[in-house]
Amino acid sequence: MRRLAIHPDEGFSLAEVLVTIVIVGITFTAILGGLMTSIRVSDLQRTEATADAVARSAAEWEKDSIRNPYANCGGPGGYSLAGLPTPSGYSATITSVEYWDGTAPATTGTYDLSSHIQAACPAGGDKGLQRITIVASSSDGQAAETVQIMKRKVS
Amino acid sequence: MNVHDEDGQALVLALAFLIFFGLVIGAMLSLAGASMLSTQRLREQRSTVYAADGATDAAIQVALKNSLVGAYADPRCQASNPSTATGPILLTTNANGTVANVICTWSQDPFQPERTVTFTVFAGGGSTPVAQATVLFHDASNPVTVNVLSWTYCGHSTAC
Repeated sequence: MRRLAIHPDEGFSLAEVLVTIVIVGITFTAILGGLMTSIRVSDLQRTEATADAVARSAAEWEKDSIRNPYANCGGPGGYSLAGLPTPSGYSATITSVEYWDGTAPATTGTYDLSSHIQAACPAGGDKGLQRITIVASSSDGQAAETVQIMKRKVS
Repeated sequence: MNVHDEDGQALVLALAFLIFFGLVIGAMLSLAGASMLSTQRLREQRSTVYAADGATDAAIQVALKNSLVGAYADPRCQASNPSTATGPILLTTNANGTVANVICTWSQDPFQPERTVTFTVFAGGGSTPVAQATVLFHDASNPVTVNVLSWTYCGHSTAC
């Protein structure tokens, strides 16, 4: 009987094994890199989205004139975010309160409010309009969301 | 019997393996990118809404302190509610990095001692309104008081 022209016991050469290991190594490195990037981006997105939600909650909390009545020239200490429900690892703080200077608009043309907002309380007293800046941040420092609101004195 | 039937199968399997995991990783990265984009859009939407809100509050306060704002035939306002951001702009402001412009509609009745003014806000350079508030100023009382008659956010289902 003629022997088959195959060599069933023949293994792979060292070169073949090395090439295989290199290819598999590169492939798995790429796959793991992609996975890690995906996980990192997902985590960052979740953190930013949560900080955004905290910023919105704090803004609404602050705008609520019953929970936080308008404080004439009160500064950041004039308002409180105490009691604001925030997820663990997140916080919200009022970083600044700026004041409208009360300048009357001209009889024609556009009134640029930004140029009439100042850091100090106006000399004649509060004019009933404040710009409040709130920062919501995660404790790991990954995300910080800033929101500015205008608070009007309810007459 | 052909003993070379399985020749090249390893290559096919390897390619299939690479393609499969490439697609999986691509899909995961795409998903993560879409999530980041949605967070960004959410942030922009938040900025726009709070800028519009703030501009409306500011316009109300400015009109409260200045009884000519929004009075009949006030040149800073318009006769009817605008559907696009054209015409005189009463007030502009910048909050959260978003510019918001307020267009007002003057009181329709020249003999009415009180003012009913509508403020329409355009924000973020958009040509469609973001919010609209109709406000009644009781000019006869001292100090002048305000009643906000309506405050509408304009969207796909709510026309302003």
